[in-house]
Amino acid sequence: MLEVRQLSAGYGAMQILRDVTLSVPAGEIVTLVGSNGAGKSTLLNTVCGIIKPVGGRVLLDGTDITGRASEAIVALGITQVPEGRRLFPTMTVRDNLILGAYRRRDAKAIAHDLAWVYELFPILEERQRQAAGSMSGGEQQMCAIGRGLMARPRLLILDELSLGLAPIMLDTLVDALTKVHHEGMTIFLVEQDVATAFDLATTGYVLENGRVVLSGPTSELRADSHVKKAYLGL
Amino acid sequence: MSVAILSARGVTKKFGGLAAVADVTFDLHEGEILGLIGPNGSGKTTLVNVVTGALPATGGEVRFADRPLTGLPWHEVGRLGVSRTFQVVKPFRNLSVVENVMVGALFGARGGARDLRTARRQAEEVLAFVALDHRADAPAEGLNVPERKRMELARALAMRPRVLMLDEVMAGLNPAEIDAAVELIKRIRDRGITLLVIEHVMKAIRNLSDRILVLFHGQTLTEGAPGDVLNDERVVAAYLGRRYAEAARA
Repeated sequence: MLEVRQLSAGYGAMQILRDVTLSVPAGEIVTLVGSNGAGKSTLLNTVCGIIKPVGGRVLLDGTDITGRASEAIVALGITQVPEGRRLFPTMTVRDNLILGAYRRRDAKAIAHDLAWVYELFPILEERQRQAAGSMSGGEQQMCAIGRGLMARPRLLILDELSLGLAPIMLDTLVDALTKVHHEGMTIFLVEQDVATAFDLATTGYVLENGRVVLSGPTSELRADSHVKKAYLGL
Repeated sequence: MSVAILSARGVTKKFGGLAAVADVTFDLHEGEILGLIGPNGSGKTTLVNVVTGALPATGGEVRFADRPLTGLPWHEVGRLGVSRTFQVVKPFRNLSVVENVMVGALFGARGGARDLRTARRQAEEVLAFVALDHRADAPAEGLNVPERKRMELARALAMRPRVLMLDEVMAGLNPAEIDAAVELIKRIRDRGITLLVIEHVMKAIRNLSDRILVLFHGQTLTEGAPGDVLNDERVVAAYLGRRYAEAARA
């Protein structure tokens, strides 16, 4: 579904990504891991049209979307749950969630999805009329993920899913993402919690200093000695 | 019997009708690292906010080095020697890294720097301690996630605290970065600073904590040695979850 071919990008004079090639096949869960500063968020920003690359291409279902505006990319069915939540802090939890569905027109399905998000994250239902910014960090993270799920995108991109979440919440998320994946959602997961990422994804890419240094089935990456040492802390 | 450097008795914090922290009692023993864990929204940061005076308590009492801490303005708490880091690091954007840390040196515990030159020297020392001295003159805005966390840590350390409370400093770090951060925190403890560490990264909690306090819906669920607490089935059910328990058994 998503193909990145020899992508190079950065911020002004600072080049971050060098010649990155990866692909997220339709219906799969793919993960990208790497240290802070390796270029993971830069890659997502480039894919989503927030920054323009200096070289290479981004394709969605074979169509070149390189350099297109973010709103056009969202319209094509890509939703990103950004790192650091980026909720609308003065709006209610419920309004933040509903906003995730703003491009959708299927009111009944939207209501159904909201009920499902509340089932996943009961605390959000409890706090639905509270200002989103008044919740704890972890609760805000749940709201941000819920908002992403409300978009029912074809491709859901998650940047640092596990940030600030209690271990038990990760169980809930792994189950939830596995469920939407079975229902047909393609997921691209950028993640520091490599163990969780490898539990979810079938294919993984390892980014170091802006380059893909390793890729393959997560079952193999898990056993790779470099990955174990650098990312699994074993 | 170790000395309690900080004591909280029946600390309660309500927002409207909602008790975010309800009747929490604990002691922080001098020289220890106390881990504070609990589900999201269980009141951990709120507890630290109340203990450090960032928020007024609704009820209860906190004492530090045998004097009352509750009711003191926030900056007084810093002057007495209690400092903390914030989950979302908000540096002074128009200042460099070392200047941000100097703010800590200037507004820290009594006896600290009161002139810019001393503050700069102290800030540089602390930056060297956290291995961020190579970025001293960089604009604070330009730091990446691990660097920003180290700057925040440096800022809190520059206040020369006796007690330091860390709020999820490991979030967003990969396992190798977590190992480095754990080592750094141990070296802070070796300097004689007592620590309270809020974390969801269990690897760090296991490696650091002498004791662990668990909050659940604003109340104390349990408290004790890591081996006991992390195997407590109530803690597994409320907080650790199935994947953690499976990995722990493996």
